[in-house]
Amino acid sequence: MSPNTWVIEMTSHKSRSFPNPQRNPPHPRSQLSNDAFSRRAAPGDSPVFEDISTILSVLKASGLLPFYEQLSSYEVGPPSKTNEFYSFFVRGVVHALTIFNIYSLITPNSAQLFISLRETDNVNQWIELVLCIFTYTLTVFVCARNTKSMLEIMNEILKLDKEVQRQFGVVLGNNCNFSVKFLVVIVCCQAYIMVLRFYAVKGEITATSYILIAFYAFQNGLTATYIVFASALLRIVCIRFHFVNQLLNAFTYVQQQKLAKKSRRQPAASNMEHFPEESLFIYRMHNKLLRIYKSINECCSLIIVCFLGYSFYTVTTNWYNLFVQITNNKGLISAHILQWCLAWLCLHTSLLALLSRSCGATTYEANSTSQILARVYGKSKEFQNIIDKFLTKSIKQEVQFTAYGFFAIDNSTLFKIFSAVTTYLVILIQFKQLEDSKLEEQVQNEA
Amino acid sequence: MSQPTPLVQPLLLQFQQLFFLSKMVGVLPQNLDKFRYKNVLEKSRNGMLYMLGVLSIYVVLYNLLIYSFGEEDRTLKASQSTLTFVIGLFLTYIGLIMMATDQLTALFNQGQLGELYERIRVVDERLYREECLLDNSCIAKRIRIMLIMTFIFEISILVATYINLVDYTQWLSLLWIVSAVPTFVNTLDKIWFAVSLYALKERFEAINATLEDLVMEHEKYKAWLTGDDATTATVGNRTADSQQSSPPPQYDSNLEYLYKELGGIDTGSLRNSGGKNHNKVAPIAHSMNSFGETIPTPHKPQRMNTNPLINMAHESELNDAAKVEIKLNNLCQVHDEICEIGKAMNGLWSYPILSLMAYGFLIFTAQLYFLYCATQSQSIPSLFRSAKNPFITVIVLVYTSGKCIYLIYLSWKTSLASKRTGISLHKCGVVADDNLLYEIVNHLSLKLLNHSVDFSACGFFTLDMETLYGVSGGITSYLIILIQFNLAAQQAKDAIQSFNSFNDTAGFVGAATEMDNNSSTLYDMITTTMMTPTY
Amino acid sequence: MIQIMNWLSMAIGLIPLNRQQFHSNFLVDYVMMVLVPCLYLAAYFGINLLQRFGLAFLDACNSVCRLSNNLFMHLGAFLYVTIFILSLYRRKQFFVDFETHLAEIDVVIQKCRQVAELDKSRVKAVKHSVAYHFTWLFVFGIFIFALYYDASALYGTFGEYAIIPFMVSSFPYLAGSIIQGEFIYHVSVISNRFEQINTLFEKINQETRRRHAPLTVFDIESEGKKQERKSAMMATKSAFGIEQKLADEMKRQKPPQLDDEDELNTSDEEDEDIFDYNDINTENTESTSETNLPDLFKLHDKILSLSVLTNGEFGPQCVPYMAACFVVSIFGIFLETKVNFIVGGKSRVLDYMTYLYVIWSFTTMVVAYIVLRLCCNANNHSKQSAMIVHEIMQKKPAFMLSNDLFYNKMKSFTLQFLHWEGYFQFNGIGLFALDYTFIFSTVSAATSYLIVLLQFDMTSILRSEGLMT
Repeated sequence: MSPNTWVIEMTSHKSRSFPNPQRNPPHPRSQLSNDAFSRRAAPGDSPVFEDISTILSVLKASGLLPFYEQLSSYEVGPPSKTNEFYSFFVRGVVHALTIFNIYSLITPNSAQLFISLRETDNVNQWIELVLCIFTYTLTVFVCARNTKSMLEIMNEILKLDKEVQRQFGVVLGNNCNFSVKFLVVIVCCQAYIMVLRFYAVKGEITATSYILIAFYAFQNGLTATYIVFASALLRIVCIRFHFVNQLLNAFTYVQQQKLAKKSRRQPAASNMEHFPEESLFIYRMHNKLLRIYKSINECCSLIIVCFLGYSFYTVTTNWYNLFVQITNNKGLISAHILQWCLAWLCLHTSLLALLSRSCGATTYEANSTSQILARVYGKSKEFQNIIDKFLTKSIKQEVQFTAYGFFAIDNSTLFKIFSAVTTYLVILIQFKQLEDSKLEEQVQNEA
Repeated sequence: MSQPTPLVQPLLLQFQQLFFLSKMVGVLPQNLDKFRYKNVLEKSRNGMLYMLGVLSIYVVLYNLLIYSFGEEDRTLKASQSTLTFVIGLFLTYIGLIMMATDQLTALFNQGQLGELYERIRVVDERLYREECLLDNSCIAKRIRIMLIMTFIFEISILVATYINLVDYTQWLSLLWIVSAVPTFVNTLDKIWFAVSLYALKERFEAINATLEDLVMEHEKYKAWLTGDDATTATVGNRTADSQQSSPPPQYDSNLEYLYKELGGIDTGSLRNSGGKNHNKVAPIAHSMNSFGETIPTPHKPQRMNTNPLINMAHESELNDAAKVEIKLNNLCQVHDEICEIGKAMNGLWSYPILSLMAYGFLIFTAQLYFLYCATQSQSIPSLFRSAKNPFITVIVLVYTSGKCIYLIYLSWKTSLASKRTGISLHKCGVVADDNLLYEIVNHLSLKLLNHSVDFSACGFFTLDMETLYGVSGGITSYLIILIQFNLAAQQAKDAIQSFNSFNDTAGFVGAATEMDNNSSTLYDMITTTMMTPTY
Repeated sequence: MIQIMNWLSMAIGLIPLNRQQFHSNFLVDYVMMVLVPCLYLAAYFGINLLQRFGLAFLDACNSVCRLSNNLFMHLGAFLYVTIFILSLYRRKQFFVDFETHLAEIDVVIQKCRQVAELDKSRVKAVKHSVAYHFTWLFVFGIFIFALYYDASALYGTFGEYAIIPFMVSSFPYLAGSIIQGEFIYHVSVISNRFEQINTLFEKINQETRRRHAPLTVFDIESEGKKQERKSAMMATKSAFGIEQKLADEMKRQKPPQLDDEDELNTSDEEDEDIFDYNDINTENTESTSETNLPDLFKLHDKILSLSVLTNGEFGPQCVPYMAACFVVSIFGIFLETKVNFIVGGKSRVLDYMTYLYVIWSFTTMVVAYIVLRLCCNANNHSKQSAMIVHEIMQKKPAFMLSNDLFYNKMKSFTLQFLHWEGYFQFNGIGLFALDYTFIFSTVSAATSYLIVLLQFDMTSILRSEGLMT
């Protein structure tokens, strides 16, 4: 999970010797930094974003992402007409199902879903369902609206990769294997929950209930998949930022000293003379990355806010249910509800952790560029001016991934969410005791 | 100045007692012999095994303690609500969790800790080369004071609780001693952190002091210059010659540099002896110190003697600015390095600090709550029996909160000291009033703006005083909530008595329709009435 | 007004006598600082140990009254003891330091004013506004009222021994408020100096505005020459030709991100030739107040250092005061709404306690507000100087373009201010910043506590005390 595990692949020498009219050939330093990169033959014309292709295909199939055309290995084009129509069709089906769902939720059709004894639990479950529907519908709408900008983001990233490839001869890997793992986790959890629900329903299961439960699982799964996708995008950006930082890091005084020690014999082979041109490239790349980062934020933030709200609610209610089950004095701990709660908690906690970690890591990398640059000590005035320019630009320019401007998402968000969950838990448990007391009182009165 | 012997004493030299103690208790796994002879922390397999053994013994003993003292809690479990019981269970184990976190983290970090102190040593060397001296001896003093405080607190809590509140007729009651182990181990670990942090703060302050000294020197020099020949350093002079960029300021700083160098050449620490006596007991060879201390008075005359030299040698202008630049550059780099060390240190201790903060928050709240319970003569968990006595409670609270607050305060102060450097740097620029120097200062200042030391617990929250403010608010609100529920339960008990005596069902039904508070008391009343047969 | 406050604080032993003279009789200076606390402690322990003369030991005092009285007394003790220890720790070293620093600053300001020819307008600075006097009168009025109410009520109960309960009820809050008054005074002095500096900066700014007009005319004319000059510059920089080109490219590639600083940086050298005309043009009319700039920068720095000193001394005393204010206010509202509205007028002692809470909560809140307001003002004033300097820099005045030194100086100042911003703000030992955000945070905290407190069911307690039927 740490951003240090990214892979940069070397291209073959053929592509490196490609005549490059503007740029100097890659200087020795880039080889020097290649020690950490695993070498692999350049893929000929492999699909873009190979690492996250699974998740992309899932999202494409569900109409959240367009079926874009791959123009070259560094560009994607808008989807063809038929594919576009397919996406429209899928979205239409989803919306129809949603309307059906809402209709059944407010009519007694869905009574089978609410099996719990207590009134509060049923209300909780109902709210949860509505929240899930709302989140997913919002996701679909926002995705449909942001189709173009999503493609733009992809194109920007690919363009950046192309430039990096031309300049340094390295192919940046994405290392998004986690996406597949998370996909498996999501599918497992949802399937498990679905099965549990089917078992929990008493008596004959109506077709409406089947549809409701299945669609509920589907919605949850896709929303979660989208969050994983957003995290994967952030990870990709994070790796680029990290690459920039690595490039800059070679110019810092610490590295310079090491270099000087190594090449004491040779006539001071300082690589500082490359600094102006490299820094230019680096600044440009950093700016582009920032822009990409911001547009990702714009695309995803509304969905993320909704998801955070939904997942906060789910985590709270599930903790509460779990607690109620464990501390049940009557001794009838239902294994079914226990498993159910654990599956939910596992899913949402891991998603929250993933999201906040990838946001935090990317923000950290983006902000540390100026910190690393502050460690570059140029001898001459020119170098200092170059450094100064960037540093002045980045004064007070705190990069943050915000949840629709409400709050910044990083590691502290996780902490805040869980402290809020604790507080609500305490209050909820008190309410539960109230309810219990009323129940028992009624029992006593009847007796 | 370059001698075969190391330039500076390693910081770890001051840690001798602390290391032996923590090695013995099992806080650190590093090699004892290496530390004794070479003052370095090195990995050691035996130490690791020893530590793991100690840890498992502690865990076993602690569980035994909880088990043997848990007898009294059996009845408690029945009488209390489940929430209170679960919280109580969690509270009994938080100390153990904290200790385990400390020890395991120390195990994982055993290699990196040595590197950290090595880096500090390198920084010290660089600082020494920049004539920026610092005094490590007070760190040893600090360690001693902190150790003594720890012993006093631990022993007073232990003994007072043992004598007052533990039934010491049974031999099993000796197990109570184990209850002090987690906090003691934790405190030792935190002393390492606190003292290292303090050392970093001192280094920041030394940099600031060096910069301020430059300013002072220059001001004095300027005063002397204006006294001598008033024409050179007047303000009006500057605008007149705008064509030649600025000879007079360069002249100034040139002289300053020369003067500085002259001051620096004959005795390394002579410059410091005039202004700041406490600053010069150095981590360097001791002969230097005594020399510096014996002649504090010749300082002024010597300065006067250097004047002719300055007037003669002011042709080396470029050389001067370059030298100052190098010095400032170096200081800036050292500053950055210290910041990095701070971050690394924070990384090493992030989980222990997180667990300490959680522990502090929970224990503080719990202790106050149980104190309240004890004053209402209710039963409390047996491990918190110290809450039965208000004076012991006060000691416990001071000890726990002292640990947390001191760490927070220190990290706040350290990051303030690191921010102070930029201001001091600018003072240098302003006092010299030289174009070239301004450019250097502006450049470095931008760099300094991007050096940051923020201490945080795993990125969850930053360690500064504002967090403390928030935490104190949190403690208060939780306390109020807990006490309110307790009060409600208490009222319910009173209601039982009246209920039993009157047995009036009409009033019962009427009261049930009242506000929330009443019904919660009713709930408690019912549960307690149902529980009463069990005990 | 300030004199009165100083006398008062000397009289009740919070600041040493002769605080401005360094060499005076040690004994005389600190006699009040020892006597009054001894008196207070005697009263406090007397009440608590002898169980006499306290309000809590009257027969008329019920449980609610006793609780609130004890809270008030112990809170006051906490407040007074912490404040007193901190004052004792401060001794008069601080006052001496403050005055010497202030004197230094004033001398330099005076010099600068002479240069800037602002001396004539000096008269109006002395005269305070109506609001100032009104505030003082208001504050004195409420204090006198609070003291009078407490004293008369206690005299009615205890007769000639009223001084003993008085010492533990109102006195600590009075002492705390007076210390805050000292803080207010010092901050207002600092704020005043900032304002003076700002007027000086503003003067320079005005001058540049006046002199900016001819500049634009020449700007157009010199366009051609500028090109020439630029190419010449390029030639001289042939060694760094590549860099120059790259820099240009860079400029092109990130135009939206360039901020003012950057723009200045680049346009600076291009405009270099303008000043030739300008200099000739305005040399005679130019008043030389920009020579003040270095002094002003130093002054700004010094005043900020002075604020650090002041905050270091008074900030810690702010914390217990704010805490006491918070607690007293919450309990004041609680008692007023839950007790006094229901059973007001039934018990005289209970009413007295409630009113005491309300009066002191109001008084302390007013003082706390003034503290916050002044600290915020001082912060804003210091920020304003940086703003004005930025404005001057953006106008590209002649003296800046003619001399790199001035440009670098101003840049250095603004950068230093950035450092200052990160380093210092008026605060209570870092726990909270003393500005309006603090009001928001306390009010929100108070609301949540009040919601919890107002849920307390007081009726049964009041009933058991026989106050309600």
